[in-house]
Amino acid sequence: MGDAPAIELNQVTVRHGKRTVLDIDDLRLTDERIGLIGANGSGKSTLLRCLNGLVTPSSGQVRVDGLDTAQSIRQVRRKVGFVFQDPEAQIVMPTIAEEMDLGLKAQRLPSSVRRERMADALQRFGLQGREEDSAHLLSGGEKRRLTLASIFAMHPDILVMDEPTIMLDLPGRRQFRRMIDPLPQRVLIATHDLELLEGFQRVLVLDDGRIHADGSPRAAIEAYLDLVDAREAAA
Amino acid sequence: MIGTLHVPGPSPVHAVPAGYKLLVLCGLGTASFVIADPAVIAAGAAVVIMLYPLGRVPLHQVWVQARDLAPLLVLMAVTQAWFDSPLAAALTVTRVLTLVWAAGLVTATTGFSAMMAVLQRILAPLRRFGVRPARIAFALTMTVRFVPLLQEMIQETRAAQAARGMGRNPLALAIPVTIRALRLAEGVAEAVEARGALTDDDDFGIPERRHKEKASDTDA
Amino acid sequence: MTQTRDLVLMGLFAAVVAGLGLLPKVTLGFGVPITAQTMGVMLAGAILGARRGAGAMAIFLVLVALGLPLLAGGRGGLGVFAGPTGGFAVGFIVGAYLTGLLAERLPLRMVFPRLLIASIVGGIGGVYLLGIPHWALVADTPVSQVLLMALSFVPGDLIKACLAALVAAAIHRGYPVLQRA
Repeated sequence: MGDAPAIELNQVTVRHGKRTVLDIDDLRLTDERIGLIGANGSGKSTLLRCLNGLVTPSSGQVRVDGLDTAQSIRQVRRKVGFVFQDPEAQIVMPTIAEEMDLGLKAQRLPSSVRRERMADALQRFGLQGREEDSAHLLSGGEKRRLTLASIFAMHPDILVMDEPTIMLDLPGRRQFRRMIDPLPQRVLIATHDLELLEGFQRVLVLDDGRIHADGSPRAAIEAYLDLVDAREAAA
Repeated sequence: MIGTLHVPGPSPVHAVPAGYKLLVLCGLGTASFVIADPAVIAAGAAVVIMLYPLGRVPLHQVWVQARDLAPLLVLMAVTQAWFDSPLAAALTVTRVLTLVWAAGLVTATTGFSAMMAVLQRILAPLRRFGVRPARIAFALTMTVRFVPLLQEMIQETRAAQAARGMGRNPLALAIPVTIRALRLAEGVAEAVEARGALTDDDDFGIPERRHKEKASDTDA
Repeated sequence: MTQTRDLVLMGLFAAVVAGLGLLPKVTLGFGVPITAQTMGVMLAGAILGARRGAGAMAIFLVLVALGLPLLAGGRGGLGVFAGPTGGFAVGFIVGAYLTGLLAERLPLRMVFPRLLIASIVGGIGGVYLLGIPHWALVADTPVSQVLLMALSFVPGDLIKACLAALVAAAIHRGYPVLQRA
């Protein structure tokens, strides 16, 4: 733990047409558990997508472990695993085994290694022995665990998650938390689920594409609440 | 959910490699257009039907396939008998039925993945023209994935429309469902992309022979 | 990104055509079935454009050939292509391509009329272009006779073209995919 590569953003802007959706001067992320909060459209998802090369900045650089995400997409994607909000969109293949294999095959691993990694990841996320089950008939919580397992099996250095608990019920959220805590990777989570941030080292508040606050979960959540209050008062 | 027309084996017909079965089918198709004797074709049909029990396919299927085609066959037979001759009508009807039964037998006794493997073999030489079998296999998987999802979306959207008192307006159903499906497709593409899958094509899905010209494989 | 996205979109519209095949089919008085499936052909062309639309139909037909019962009435397998309506099925590819080509190129500002013409010419004309000769060949009937019979499909096809154009026009306004081809 602790030796996961750093994420650095330098003079990054992302524009959609005329609108600037992300504008970050200088940001260096080295903590193990990092939260990202802010209203819908504040730029959370865009920021996460920059880290995996899904979004290329209009200007500036995003570096993961010193690699520019615009130039070394393939290496960057190997380092940064992405867990999406909707498991329905992330689960592509018909069975659990095939879904797990999609990412592993992309890494061109020999089949013995793939089998080992698959078994290990399924075990960790409580899906052991279910390789041949249909991936689409799982419960919501199981689907979430499958998406985690399939990304985890690829052994990324950094795990990026976009609102991973939004479709989960309370027991599901708690279970999610229990599974995230022991992960050796650096984890970045964008969320509306403020409870999830407890115990995180660092939380960023995004507002209108910029960093509004940055600090401990408590300080950041307070800043976020104040921001929302101020907006409501102004409206 | 999607079912298949496949009937589980084993049987002597199942055991014949898929590629050969397809070849025989092609040959049969050609032969049936060359032979102009309904009696010969009818004999061929009888052989095909006898292969059904051998392949453990219920004979009922022979009837089902004929029944599905019946309206069209009657229409064809009547016009043919009218404009040409009863003999021509008989020829057409036996020819169509024989081919449909033969093709039905091949489909019933050949698994989806075996067919897919034949498909990849057939497509392999097309690589040099930019056809990538693995990508095609991926798109096929996507379709199988989307059919039940679309059904689900249609049901949900229909319920939502009904709740708002909107009746059976097909547009009020088709438009939101299509947009939802397009958004989902976008998400799926992103998720595949994020895993770095499918950037090189030759190791997706069913294993196929490695090809040498890897250097020329650049990603669009 | 485009490559993967295109493949997913083609897979999706193949599924749309399959889904439309699940709608109950109406059989005309003398046994000619009308299915909603050709509407999917028009939608694929009008929404995805020529290349991806045709690709979607090719995927659909490969799945049918591989034995999935995706054609209207749960038909599938190679028998479909041996039967008299096999040409219409293969015509889906031509139909979607033509629809897409016209939807992309017709020099008409107004979206709906452009898509309507594209759907009629491509989705009806393109499908019949292969379907009728194939029928004539299999049934050994003069093309003119088949053409006469096919006329009975046309009113239903026109309704489908209208619906397809309305849906596609709404998609182009609300969620344009074609421009990003």
